[in-house]
Amino acid sequence: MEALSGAHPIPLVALVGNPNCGKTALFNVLTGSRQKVANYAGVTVERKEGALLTPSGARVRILDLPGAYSLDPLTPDEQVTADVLLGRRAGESAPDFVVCVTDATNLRQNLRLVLSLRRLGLPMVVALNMTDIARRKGIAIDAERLARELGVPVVETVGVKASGAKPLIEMLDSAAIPARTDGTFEWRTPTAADIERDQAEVRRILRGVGGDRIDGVTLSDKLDAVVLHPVVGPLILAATLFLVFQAVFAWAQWPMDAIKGGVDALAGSLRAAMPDSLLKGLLVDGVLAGAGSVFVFLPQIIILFFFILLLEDSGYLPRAAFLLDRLMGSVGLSGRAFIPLLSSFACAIPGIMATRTIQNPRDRLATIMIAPLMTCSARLPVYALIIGAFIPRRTLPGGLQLQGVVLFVLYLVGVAGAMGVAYVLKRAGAAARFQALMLELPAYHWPNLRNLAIGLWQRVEIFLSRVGTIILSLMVILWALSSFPAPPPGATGPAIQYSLAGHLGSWLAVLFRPIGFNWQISIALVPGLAAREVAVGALGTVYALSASGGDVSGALTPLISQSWSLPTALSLLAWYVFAPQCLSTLATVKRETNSWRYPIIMAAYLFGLAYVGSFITFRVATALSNLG
Amino acid sequence: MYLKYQPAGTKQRAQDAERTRGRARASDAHGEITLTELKTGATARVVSVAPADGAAPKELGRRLAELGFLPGEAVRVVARGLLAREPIAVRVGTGTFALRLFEAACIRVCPEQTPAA
Repeated sequence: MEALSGAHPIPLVALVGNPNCGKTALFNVLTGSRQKVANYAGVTVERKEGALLTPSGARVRILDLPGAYSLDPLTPDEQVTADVLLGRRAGESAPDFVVCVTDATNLRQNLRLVLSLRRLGLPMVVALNMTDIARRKGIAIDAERLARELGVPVVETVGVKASGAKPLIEMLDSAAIPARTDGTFEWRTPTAADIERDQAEVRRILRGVGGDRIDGVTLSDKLDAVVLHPVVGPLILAATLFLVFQAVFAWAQWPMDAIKGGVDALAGSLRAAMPDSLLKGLLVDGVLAGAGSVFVFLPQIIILFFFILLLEDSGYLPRAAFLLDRLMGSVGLSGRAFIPLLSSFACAIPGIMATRTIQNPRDRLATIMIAPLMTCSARLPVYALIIGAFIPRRTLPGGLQLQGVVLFVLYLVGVAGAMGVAYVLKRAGAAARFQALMLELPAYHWPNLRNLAIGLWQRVEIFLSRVGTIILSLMVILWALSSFPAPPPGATGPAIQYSLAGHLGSWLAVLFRPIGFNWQISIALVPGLAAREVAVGALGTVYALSASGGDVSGALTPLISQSWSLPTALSLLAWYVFAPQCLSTLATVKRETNSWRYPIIMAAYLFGLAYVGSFITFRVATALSNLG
Repeated sequence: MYLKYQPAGTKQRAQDAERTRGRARASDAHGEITLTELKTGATARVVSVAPADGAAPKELGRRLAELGFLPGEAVRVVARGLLAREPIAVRVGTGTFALRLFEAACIRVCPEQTPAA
C-alpha cells in the first residue's frame, strides 16, 4: 500500500465496466454497502462512494460508477463514468486506480472496454467477475495467461458471494500497484478502424485464454423463445402482472388483520387506562389513528416489492420492455423509457433518476413528465383503504378477487393516462423521430435469495422509517392543527370544526365540493402532498377527532364506508391516480432537469388531470346511482 | 462524426453498387441482407454497420459497434415482436440486444449456410 499512499492520503479506486457486469454487487461486498443490485443494464446511474479497510489496515475509497459500453458517452449516466475517469469532474481528480470489472461469461464484449481503459494509462486491474456462473457454463478462463496478454493483473471475483472479492482486496492491499503519475490523460475517440482492431485483438486473446466459445442455443435463448414469443409472451406478461395484484390483496389479508387488531387493542387499552388529557388525545387520535392506519399496509408493500425484486433479479424486466416496446413507440416513447417507468411503480424518484440511461434529451424529458402517473407504492395504502371500504370482497368467476381486479384497473388507468400524455407530448413535438432501443437482454439468473432478503428488508426499513418520522410528525402537526383552538363554550359540533384545520378544510371544501370531496377529505389532501400515505393517516386522525360519540373504534374502513357515498370514493380514487406527486418528486424533477419550469408544468398538468378526472368520475357515478 | 464499419475491397464496391440499385432489391450477389431481413433463428455474420437512413442519429453506427455489432461477428435473431415484427432480439457474440427496426437496418449481414432443414 506504500506506493498508493504516497500521492494521496486515501487512494481512490474506481469500479468501471460494461453495464450489468456486477460492479455494484462487487462494490457492496468491498464496502459493506447495500446499493441496489439487479439483473438489467442501468441500475446504477450515479457515482457512489464507499470505504474499504484492507486486512493490513490501509484505507481505500471505492467508487462505484454507472456501467458504460465505451468511454465516449451517449447517455447522462455514461457521462458520469467518462468524466470521473478522465478527471473532468469538477472538484475531483481522476481515480488513482481502476478496477475494470468484466463479466467472465461475456468477455467477447467486455474486453474491448478493458483495451480502451488500458490506453487511458491509469493503473488498473481486471476483475474477472461472475466466475461462478462461467464455471457452471463450462467456461474456463486462463486468468494468468489473460494477465500476460493484457499486461495488467487479473483477479477472479464473485460479486454475489460475501467472500467473492477476496482476491481483489488482496490485490488492493499489496504493494504491486504502481504509483500514479500525475497529469491529465489524453483521450481520443477511437475511429472505426480502432474499434475493429480492438475486436480482432479481443478475438486473438480469447482464443489463447479459452473464452472464445460461442454457445449455440443457450438455456436463456430457449426461455426467450417462449417469453418473447409474439403471442405467448404478452400473455405471460399479463398473467404475471395480474398475479402480483391478486397477491397484494389475497395474501396480505391475514397479517393486515393481525396488525389492525394490535393497533386497535392498543388504542382501546390506552383509551381505557388514561385519564382524558391532551396526551391521551395525541396518542390515540394522532399517533395510533394516524400513523397506525398507515402501518397496517406494511404487508401489502412487502408483497408488492417481493414481486418487483424477483422480476428485477431474474432478468425478466428487459424482456417486458421488449414486449411493450411497440406500444411505447406508438406514443412516441423511447423503448428505454420502460425500465425508468417500471421503477416508478416503486417510487417516482428512482424512476426519474433512472431516465439518465436515455440518450435523447427530449425522450428523457417526456419520460420524466409521465413517470408520476405510474402508481407509486405510496399510493397503495390510499387505494387499499378505499377499495377495502367500498368494493365487496367477492370472488369473481375464475377465482379472481374483485378487489384485486379493481386495483389492477387503477394501475392500468394510470398507465393509460401516461400513454395519453406521452402521445400529446409527441404531437406537440417533444419526441425525437428516432427513439433508440438498443437494450441489453441479459442471461436469466435464479434470483439470489440473499439479495432478495436484503432488498425486502430495505423496503421494510424505508417504510417503517417513513411511518416513524415524516408520517408520524405530520400526524402530530395535523392533530395539533385539528385540536386547537378549542371549541367555544356551548359549541355543539365536533371540536375539529372550530380548529385551524377545520377552517382550512371548509375553505378547501369549496374548491373540492364539485368533485364530491367533503371537508375531511379536503384536509387530508394537504399533508398528502408531503407523502402519499399520509392522506390515509390524516383521514384516520380527522375522523377520530370529528366523531361526536365516544365509541369510535380505531378502524377507519367502516367509518368511511358509512360516511362517504360511492361516487365520492370513486372520485377520490380517480384523484389519486392523477394527483400531483409528493413534493420530493417535484424536487427531483427540478434537480434532474435543472429548471423550475418542468416541475411547475408537471404539478399544473397533474392537478388539472386529477380535477377533471375526479369531476367526470363523480358526476358519472352520481348520475348512474340516481338511475339505479 | 459518423463511422462506417466496412472491410476494404470488393465488398465495399458490391455494396455501393447495391445501394445505387435501390433498397427494393433485398440481397446482392454476395447474399448480403440487412439484419431486419434475417429469419428468426437463422445465423449470419456481420458485414458492415452504417446508418441506413440519412436522418438517423449519427452516433447510431458507433453505438451499435460498441455493443459488439462488428464485421465478422456472428449474429442470430432470437425473437421478433408481433406488430410490424418489431422490435427484434439479436444475439451477437455472447450477448443479446433488443433493437428497433431502424437500428437493425443499419447492420448488413451475410447469412450462414445452415444445414438443410
